[in-house]
Amino acid sequence: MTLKQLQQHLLEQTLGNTLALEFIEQLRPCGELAPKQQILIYQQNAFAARQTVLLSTYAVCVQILGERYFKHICKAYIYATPSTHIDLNLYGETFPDYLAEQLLRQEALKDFPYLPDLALLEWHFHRLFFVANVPEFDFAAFAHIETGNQHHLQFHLAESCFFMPSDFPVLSLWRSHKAANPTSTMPAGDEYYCIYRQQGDMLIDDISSDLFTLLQGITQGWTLGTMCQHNLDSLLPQLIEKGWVSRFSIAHV
Amino acid sequence: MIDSSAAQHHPISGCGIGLRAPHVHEIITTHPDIPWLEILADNYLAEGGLILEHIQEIAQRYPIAMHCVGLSIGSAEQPDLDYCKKLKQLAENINACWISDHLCFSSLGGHYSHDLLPFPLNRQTLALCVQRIDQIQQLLGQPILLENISSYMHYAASSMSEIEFICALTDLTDCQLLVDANNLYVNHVNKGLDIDEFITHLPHHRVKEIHLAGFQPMVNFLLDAHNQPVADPVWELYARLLNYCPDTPTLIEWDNDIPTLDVLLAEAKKADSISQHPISDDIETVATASA
Ligand SMILES: [Fe+2]
Repeated sequence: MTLKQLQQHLLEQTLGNTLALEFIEQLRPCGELAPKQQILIYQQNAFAARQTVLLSTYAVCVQILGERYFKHICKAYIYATPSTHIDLNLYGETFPDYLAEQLLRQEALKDFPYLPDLALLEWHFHRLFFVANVPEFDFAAFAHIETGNQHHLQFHLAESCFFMPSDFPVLSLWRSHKAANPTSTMPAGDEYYCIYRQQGDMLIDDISSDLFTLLQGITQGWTLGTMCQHNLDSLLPQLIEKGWVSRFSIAHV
Repeated sequence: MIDSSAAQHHPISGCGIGLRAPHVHEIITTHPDIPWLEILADNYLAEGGLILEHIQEIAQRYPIAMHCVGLSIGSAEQPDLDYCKKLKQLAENINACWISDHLCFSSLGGHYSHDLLPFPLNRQTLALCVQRIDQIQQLLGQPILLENISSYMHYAASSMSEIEFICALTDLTDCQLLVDANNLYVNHVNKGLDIDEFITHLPHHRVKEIHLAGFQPMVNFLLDAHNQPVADPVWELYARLLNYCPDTPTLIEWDNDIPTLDVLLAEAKKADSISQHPISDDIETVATASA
């Protein structure tokens, strides 16, 4: 077995929950530890590290499901999802999608249809803490845009913000749990949120459907002309002020 | 015999603590008296974000050492040069005292274990590590510190002891050492590592830092869990190490079930008092002789 094969075996077993005979054969007893137990120690360490991160990132989901059930739910996810980021803090990006799949499969989750949205909100609130700062909007350059180009202006969203819709009031739920005052009422309704970082603070705003449509339009490459057609251009200054729009460019006509 | 070249200049002194998220706010706002801090550099490699702002603020007041788990020195793959560049940039940004990593591999094929995985210690892996370390040190523009890991594995392909491997590696690459006293003790109990051999053969002049941490006793082994106070036998081992490597900057590592800052600082004070009142390595012999 080459060194690379040996390391591949160990890494695969460390991140999963299986044991490979051909790797076990490469080991000798280590003190009182038989070869199988040697591998299990690494498996358990790697599992615990990823579980700890999920418990912390998805803290409100944990509160809602209870730690024991949350751990049960995330077990299969952890074994199926190796970490692909050098920073362990960024493990668990796909966990909200996994929860959405589990909703369809697990009877016990049927009372928690809002869980994937809540998890998505928690993930981005956590992730944006680590995202690079965005440069200030260049008002001087903006003031010098030629009139003929104004309709072709395109705006770009800051990396330090993320917006999402939800059919459930997950923001109120999240806030009530963070305030240690959990609410159990969960009326359905259209909700739109923007999660962002502003001058050292992590924030979440409840936004209007118009603002949400505009943010969506911006990601699709709407020009200022298109925003005017949708009667949404008047909302643009708000986005710039909040720091959600960080820069502009002129679309090639 | 104690290596006379062990008395040397260190850019920092005393016992620091590993900077962990629950203490960041307190350190920024109350400026506790801590001689230096060590960060897990892998958590600070984003191009920005609040976490980087916090560390820049802390770096203005405290010397900072960078500790990594991502260099994957023993990996059969080429080193991640982008990662090395980010480390270098961060080191410049916060004026880091030095950069350390472990004698292990931690990733392969884009998958990260976030653990310190052992590899067989033999001539082949020695040559591989020498090549990796040369490349990394050249890129970073400075020697790195390598730390001995706690390992729960014994490979049939290993043909060198840990200290043999470390001596050869430091000779061939001029890298420096971070000796983790807890890892030494854990390996002594779990795998029968000969502590006397390790300490006496260690190239003492290369030891730039010592780690102290707590282990968790399991049914038939000790787990290097970093979740409790430093155990008595590790304090004793630390005192012995200091006979050979006096005044070496020391660090309390506590990563799980993290206590309040004052608990960590009390551990650091204890280390300082041991360092300031060294005991002779001969004490045991003298005591036995006079008994
Ligand atoms: Fe250590």
